[in-house]
Amino acid sequence: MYMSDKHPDPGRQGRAAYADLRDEDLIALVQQGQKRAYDELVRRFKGRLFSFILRMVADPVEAEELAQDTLIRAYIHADKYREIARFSTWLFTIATNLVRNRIRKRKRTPYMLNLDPAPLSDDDIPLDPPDPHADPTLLLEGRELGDLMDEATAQIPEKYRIPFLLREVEQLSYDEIQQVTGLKLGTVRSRINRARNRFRANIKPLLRSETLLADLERLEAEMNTNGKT
Amino acid sequence: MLCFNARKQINQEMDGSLPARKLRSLEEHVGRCKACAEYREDLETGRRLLRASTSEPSDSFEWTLQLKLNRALKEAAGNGVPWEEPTRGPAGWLRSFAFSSLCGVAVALAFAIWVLPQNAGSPSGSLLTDAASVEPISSVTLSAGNPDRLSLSQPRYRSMDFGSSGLGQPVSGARVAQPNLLDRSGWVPSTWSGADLEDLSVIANLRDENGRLRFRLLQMLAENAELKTLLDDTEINYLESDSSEETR
Repeated sequence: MYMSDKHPDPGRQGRAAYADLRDEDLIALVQQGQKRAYDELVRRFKGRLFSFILRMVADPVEAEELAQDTLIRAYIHADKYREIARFSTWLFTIATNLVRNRIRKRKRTPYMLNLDPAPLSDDDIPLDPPDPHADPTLLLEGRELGDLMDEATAQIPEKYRIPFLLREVEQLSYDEIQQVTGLKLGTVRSRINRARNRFRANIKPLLRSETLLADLERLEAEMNTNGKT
Repeated sequence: MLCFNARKQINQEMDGSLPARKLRSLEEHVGRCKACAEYREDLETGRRLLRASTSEPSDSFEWTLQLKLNRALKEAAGNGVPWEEPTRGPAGWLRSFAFSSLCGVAVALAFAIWVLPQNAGSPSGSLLTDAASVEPISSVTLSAGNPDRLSLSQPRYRSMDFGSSGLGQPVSGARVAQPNLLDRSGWVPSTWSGADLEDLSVIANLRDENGRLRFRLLQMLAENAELKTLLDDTEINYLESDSSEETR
């Protein structure tokens, strides 16, 4: 039998068996041509990739496209993956390169003027627009927490944002971030610290909001429930 | 401890890289300094907010991915990875050079096979060498190997003149041999096969038959001329006598 003990064949036991495998085992099965293992990897990483990329490019359509490109690239180049690094590190390296290319390309394209018509009457312009910093609840009204966080991260310079998100959200180690970004360890460390301070400054008005903290606890409880199930 | 150092250590603590011996002094500082305590709380809440607020892609994500993957695999099978522009390294240039050289050699070989044999002297064979001789009048004729091809450098044969010069004599100049159409040793295009080659064989046979019939016709004309001469010598008008007998 070809299948080694290290990478058991769950295809014989049904789809649910893939859920118990490590990412590295799954990519090994993909290397052996098992499409279901790839489907499981897609299920695991699509949200994480999308969130990471969305916070980098700030455009849901573009983020979805890049997340798909990352997963396609991972499938086509699956044979190049070696278990010297975690699969997530490898995958986020691909995503980071694609995002960097896209941002570079975007910078080269000329700036587009907004051709939306001006407000028709003075009534359309609020006389006294509310200052969101004055009352954080105003900022939160009708807004999703995800949108607020995306905005707050979008204000961090790109070079700080990549290691920051990889550390804070994806929980990659400093060594792994070093592998993904190609930066020196000291640079990674200082960039993450700077990004944390900037992020803190961006969300400072929100942090004392009772509503936000309540939302946060609700979301964490949901995540724990989903994680257990 | 200074707040600057304390905040550095708070960052290390968040990453789990703060040595245990420094943790105690940090806790002491944070217990005394409200700003640093707030700083630590803000960073931790910020991290919780980021982790809790992940966005989900649209419902069509997976089937769009499947479609794109199918297309990418199809393209990758032919042209390499679709989103990467093909790069040409030294090996690529070497391959191109080798390919160009091979093409050049192939063209030279084709030239040698196609053109040179057609120019290499007059066609062989002699079907009509004795019965009738012909004269080249221009430079177009059938090539030996491929009867359907015309070569601009070969002599062309005109129709026979049975006039005063006499049978079996050249009209003018040297005798030129008719091409041997049965000679199948010539090269035919490699794309020809089956029915094409059969047709070619039929055409060659018909031409050969035509040559033989022409030869036979010339023989009969010669006999006819001889008989006519004999008849003239005997001074008998067969046609007149026949008609007189009929009238009788």
